Order: sequence, then structure tokens, then C-alpha cells
Amino acid sequence: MTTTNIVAMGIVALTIVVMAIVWLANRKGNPESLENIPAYDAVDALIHRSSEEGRELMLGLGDGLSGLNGSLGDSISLTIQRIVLSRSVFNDRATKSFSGDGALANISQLVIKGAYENALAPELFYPQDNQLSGPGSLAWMAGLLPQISHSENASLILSGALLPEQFLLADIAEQNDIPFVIASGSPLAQAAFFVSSAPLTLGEDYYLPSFGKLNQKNYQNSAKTMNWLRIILAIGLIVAAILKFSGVLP
Amino acid sequence: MKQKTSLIVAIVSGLLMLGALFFQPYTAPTLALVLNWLIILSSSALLAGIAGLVVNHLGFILKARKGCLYSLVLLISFFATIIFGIILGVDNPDFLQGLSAILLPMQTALMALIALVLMSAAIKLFRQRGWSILTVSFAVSALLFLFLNLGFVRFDSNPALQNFVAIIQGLPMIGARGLLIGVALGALLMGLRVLFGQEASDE
Repeated sequence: MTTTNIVAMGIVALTIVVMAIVWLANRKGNPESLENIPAYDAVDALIHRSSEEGRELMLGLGDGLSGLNGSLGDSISLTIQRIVLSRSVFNDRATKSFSGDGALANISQLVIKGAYENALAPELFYPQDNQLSGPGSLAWMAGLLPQISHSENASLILSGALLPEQFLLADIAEQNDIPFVIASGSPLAQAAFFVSSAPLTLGEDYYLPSFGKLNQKNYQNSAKTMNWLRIILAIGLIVAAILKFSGVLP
Repeated sequence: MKQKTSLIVAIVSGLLMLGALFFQPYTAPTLALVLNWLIILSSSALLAGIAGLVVNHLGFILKARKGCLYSLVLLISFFATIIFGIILGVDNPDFLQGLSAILLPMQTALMALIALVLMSAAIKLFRQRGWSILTVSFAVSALLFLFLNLGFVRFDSNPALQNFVAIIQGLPMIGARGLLIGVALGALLMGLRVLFGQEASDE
């Protein structure tokens, strides 16, 4: 077993231990709660807006799930979709989702179907509310561009694995006065989208989705675990740097 | 029960794969096999997604929805690519040249457009987000590193100053590493939450 594998195993084990401690601590009593990420609270406002205006809410889910498209696979966009749909199934206009990855499109279909079934309204589910807008990041963007300027569209949430090139989506949304939120875990995309007017997640904020009071338990546990891990890793890095400079480590 | 079964299958497979990842090279053949399964499954999912895409766009054309011209262009290009690909073969040089002749100029034009849009957005940054520590440091660092990395500023005669500039040039990498550590932690936590079935729990 290589040193890298041992270190990786150690980090995973440490994360599991911290997760368990935080989970146990949060189970008892009423622990102090952390505030939501502003970008995710903005999503809550978008849900209200689309509901009040009786127009569509658009979800761009990115192109990364299977990890075959050259971007880090993640499922946060699906979590965001699940939370958004739990609030918007009875909107006048159904929430539309657009994926850039085959596996993502299929799982997203299941998420939408599940949301309608949980709301005891399976008859409101239409498969066309979830589309593969193109296989791959640029094709996904090209498929999404004409949809954004559609007059029935009230707001846009771009989440998942994004590329800086997809800033064009933000530009089109701004030109059409469509409020939007960016939630991406890619530092490059975060830097590119920072110049837009939209609220966006910075750094690891992306992995902590919670809108209003939705997903609070998961959010509180994750945020506290991440805070502790950051502290432990920072101490570890400082100790390692001191040991390196003092010649203890080769 | 049906939901729990799929959750248990997902958790067990996830844990097995995590274990297999750590115990390489003993588990390398198994990992390669599972990766092949993943590729086959993803390709099948892509086919299903493309079928859905074609059906949706056919629906748009039949209903004469606003913007159905785009759908028509998409379907014509899609079927033309498939037909020529089947007839000529995907390795045929003429077929590949034809595809490149369409794709390369389009991608280049798109990238040029994105560069211009990003530049204009960067200029509008202060109007959009106001004057804050974040916007000012963003603008200053962007300008500084663009200027330094152009290579016009050289201090060959002064090694101390050259070292200082090299340290400054390394700052974005240090910042990116810090950011990446945070992102990696988030991704790890998210993966573990999925593995332990916490992500599937509704509140």
C-alpha cells in the first residue's frame, strides 16, 4: 500500500469519526445553528418568485455525474433539484431541468418523478420537464441558451459541474433580466461567474445546500463537520510545515 | 422496502469500491472491470437521454413551438451525422474532416465570444457587486497576475527581485490549492453522506 493510499484512508477515517461525533452532538439538545449560505437562500427567493409570477423555474444541472465528461462527478445538483422540487411541484408551471450528461438526465428524471409521487400528485409529472439538452458541457450550454430567453421563464438556477465558458448562460440571463443563482464546486467556474451579478457559492459552500428551513438537518451536520475538518487539516498542515522546515520530515 | 433495498445496494457497492480503491494494486483488475461496467452503463444512459432529446424536439416541431427552428436544425444535424457515420464509418477521414470543418470554427467562434463577454463582464464588476474587499482584491489580483504572466516584467539583473516576483507569481497557485482542499473536503463529505444514506433521507 502506498503512502498516498494510507494518507487517503486516514483522511476518510477521520472524516467518518468527525461526522459521527457531530451527528451524535446534534442529536442531543438544541445545538447552535449556522446561517444558510446566501446563494442558497437566494434560490429560496427564486422559488417564491416563479410561484408568484406563475412562470417556469429553470434548473441547469451541469454535465458531471458519471465523471466521463472531463468534470468532477458530483450529485449536489440532484440534491438541489430534489429540494427545489419539494417546494415547487404545485407551481402553476412545472420546474424544467436540463442536464448535460446521460446518467444525470436519467437520475434527474427519477428525482422529479419521486418528488411528484411524494407530493401524491404523480399525474402532474411529465417526462419532458426533464431534458438532456446536449451530451457534454458545450452541447449542454448550446441547448440551454435558447431556453433561457423563453418568455415563460421566471428564473434560473445553474448548478453542478460548470465551466468558465458557460458564463455565456449568465450573460444571456442578465440580458433577459432573468434572476439567477450559480452553485458550482469548480473553482474556475466560481472565478468566472464571480463577475456576474448573481449570488454564487464560493469554495466549498457549494456542498452545503439548504434553502430556508429545507434540508437544515443535513446542512447543519455537514457544515459543522466541515468546520472541524478544516481546523484539523489546518493544524495538520502547519505541524507538517514546521516539521519539514525543522528537518524532521525529509 | 424497495427504496431501502436500492439504498443498501448503493451503500454496499460504494463501500466495496472505496475499499478496492485503497487496496490497489491487488484490486486493480476488479476496479478496471467495474470502470468498464460504468462506461457501458453511462453510454446506455446517454442513448436513453438522446432518445428523449430527439422525442422532445420532434414534439416542439409538431406543436410549432416558438423557436422550433432550432429543434429542426438540431434534428437535421443529428440524423445527418448518424447517417453519414453509418455509411462512411466513424474513422473515415472525409467524415472526420467534415465534422472538424463544422465543429472547429464553431468552437473557436464560441470561445472568442466568451472571451469578449467575460472581458465586458469583468469591466462591469464594480457596478454589479459594488466596491468591497472581495471585488477590489479580485480586480487587483487579476490585473497584477495578467501583467506579471505576460512576461514583460523581467529582473534578470536582480536575482532577489526576480525571486520576489516568482513568489508573487506562485500566490494564485497557493490560493487555488487552499480552495481545492476545501472543495475536496466538501466532495469527500458529500460522498460519505451518499454512502451512509444520509443524502437520501428526506426531512
